[in-house]
Amino acid sequence: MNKTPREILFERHRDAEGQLDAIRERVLVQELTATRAGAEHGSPDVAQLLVQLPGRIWRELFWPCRRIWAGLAAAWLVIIAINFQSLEGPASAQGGSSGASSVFWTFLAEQNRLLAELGDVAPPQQPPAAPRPRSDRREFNRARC
Amino acid sequence: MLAVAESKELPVREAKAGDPEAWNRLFQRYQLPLYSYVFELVRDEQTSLDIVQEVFINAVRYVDRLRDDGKFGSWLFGIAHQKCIQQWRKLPREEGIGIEELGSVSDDEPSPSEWLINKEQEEEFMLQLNQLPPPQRSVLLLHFVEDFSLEEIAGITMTAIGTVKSRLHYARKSLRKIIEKERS
Repeated sequence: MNKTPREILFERHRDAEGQLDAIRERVLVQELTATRAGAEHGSPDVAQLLVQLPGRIWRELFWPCRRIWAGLAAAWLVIIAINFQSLEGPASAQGGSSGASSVFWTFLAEQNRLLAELGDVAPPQQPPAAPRPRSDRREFNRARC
Repeated sequence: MLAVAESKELPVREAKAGDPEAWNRLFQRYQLPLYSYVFELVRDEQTSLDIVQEVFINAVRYVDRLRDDGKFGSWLFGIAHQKCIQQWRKLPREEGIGIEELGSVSDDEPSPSEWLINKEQEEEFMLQLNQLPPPQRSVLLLHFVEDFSLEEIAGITMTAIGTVKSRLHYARKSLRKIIEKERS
């Protein structure tokens, strides 16, 4: 009796059936379990994705361009170091300027003394009093005239 | 028509709903035909098993895209065919005979009697199948194994019906030559 082409072909590959069964079972377990878990949780494996996120970022973002990232980090370190140095500079300059500030205070004292000398014309050394009522001030001005 | 009759009874709707038993039945039904088809095209056991696994995985993942449940079989074979093409493209030019190469032979379209293969010739043809170039082998296998229609074969191989007819015609011609040579 003649065999159909289908039968001839299947006979050739009958040995692979054990492996095909194993593949079928594996796919059913893996794929359908994953699909069902995704359907039950609404969004597929969100918690798992969050847990894996740092690792994925490291693997996909940093590790492939690690030299570039290292270069950038080094550049930032240099910038920060330069920034610190420039901050220390004015501070030390301030420490050194104590002489300059003493000159300033001497100058200010001299100015005060000059003002005091000039103040002989005006009523001297009296600290400016609290503002008086307007009526008093008028009397005072009249007395001066 | 075995495939057509069976496809109506296949639990595709249940599979779409995620029923594992339905998937089990579908995979059981198609695992050997798919493997046979793929093996005859790629001629490597491990690669064929890998392709069948990928086809099953893709089927579970993308079954929602299948509009006509009755075309589940041809859809599955379509995935397998694409995987085989990908496999051919990985091979060096001498080994991976271009599936596209025979896509333009449909100009002199053969008559139906030329592309149909007689039942008497089938067994002989099947034994010499390996000697055909992959594009012709592919259409012949789809014709023999699942008894797909020309339209279905055209859909699976993503070619025009005229091209499928030509390939069948040339396959038949080549096989006849091979058989005659062996007899003489």
